[in-house]
Amino acid sequence: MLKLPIESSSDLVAVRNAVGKLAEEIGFRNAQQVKIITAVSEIVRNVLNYAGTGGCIARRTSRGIRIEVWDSGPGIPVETIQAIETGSYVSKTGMGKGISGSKELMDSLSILSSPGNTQIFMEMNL
Amino acid sequence: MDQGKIPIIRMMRCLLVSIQMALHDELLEQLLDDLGAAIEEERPRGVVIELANVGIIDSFTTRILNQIGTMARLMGARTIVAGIQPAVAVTMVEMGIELEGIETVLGVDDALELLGFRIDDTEAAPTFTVEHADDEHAGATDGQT
Repeated sequence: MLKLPIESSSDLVAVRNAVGKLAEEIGFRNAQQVKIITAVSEIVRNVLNYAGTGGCIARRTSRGIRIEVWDSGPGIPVETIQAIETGSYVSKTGMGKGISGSKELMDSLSILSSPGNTQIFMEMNL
Repeated sequence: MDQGKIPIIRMMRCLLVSIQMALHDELLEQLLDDLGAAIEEERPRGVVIELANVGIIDSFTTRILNQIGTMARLMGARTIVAGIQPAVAVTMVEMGIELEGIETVLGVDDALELLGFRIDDTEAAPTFTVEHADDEHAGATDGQT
């Protein structure tokens, strides 16, 4: 299991590298590794841009990989979460774009968010 | 923390950027600034950005590349991105992000040909020829590959 802090853009690169290495060890193909790393990059950058700091846990599961990213920022607006979950988010910029793009890349992405506590869970199966 | 810079190679009225390092956000923002200054100084025909060794292009990287393309176009230069890896291209498609106003090719050779360099690789030592007669470097040859 990986547990990594998110405090600076250097951590963004560190998280990308560590999660990519874990995905390779688990046995994901290169194309899947790129998707996982890209999704993590989007979510971690949101933490840096909108919350400042947070953390990331990535672990092997019986079916593949599970990644959790959390922060204690202002939270994601309910309407943004709903738009992402229904696939109707259309903005080309901003927080929702990164999350909705990540949702397209992973097998599952779910969001728990309230002011001061946001958690995003992502999974990809082999 | 000093993360260095992405080098910009100046050659025959062309700016060549070959990214060989992990892409920190600050590096990309610095590249945007550096390319603006280099375009003003060198008045290049084009900017070639090689990404063959870049394993991830996310929405931030795409935004910076699009800004480079727009800036270069406003300053009279073309921007050509070369060598995007297949897995990276597929990921960009699935995310719905794309390069806008930027030409893309498979390799740096293709980019240079788009900019008017004729690459003769039929001889033992390949040569570059600039095909634009009005260019100050017209007819120049160079032994570089």
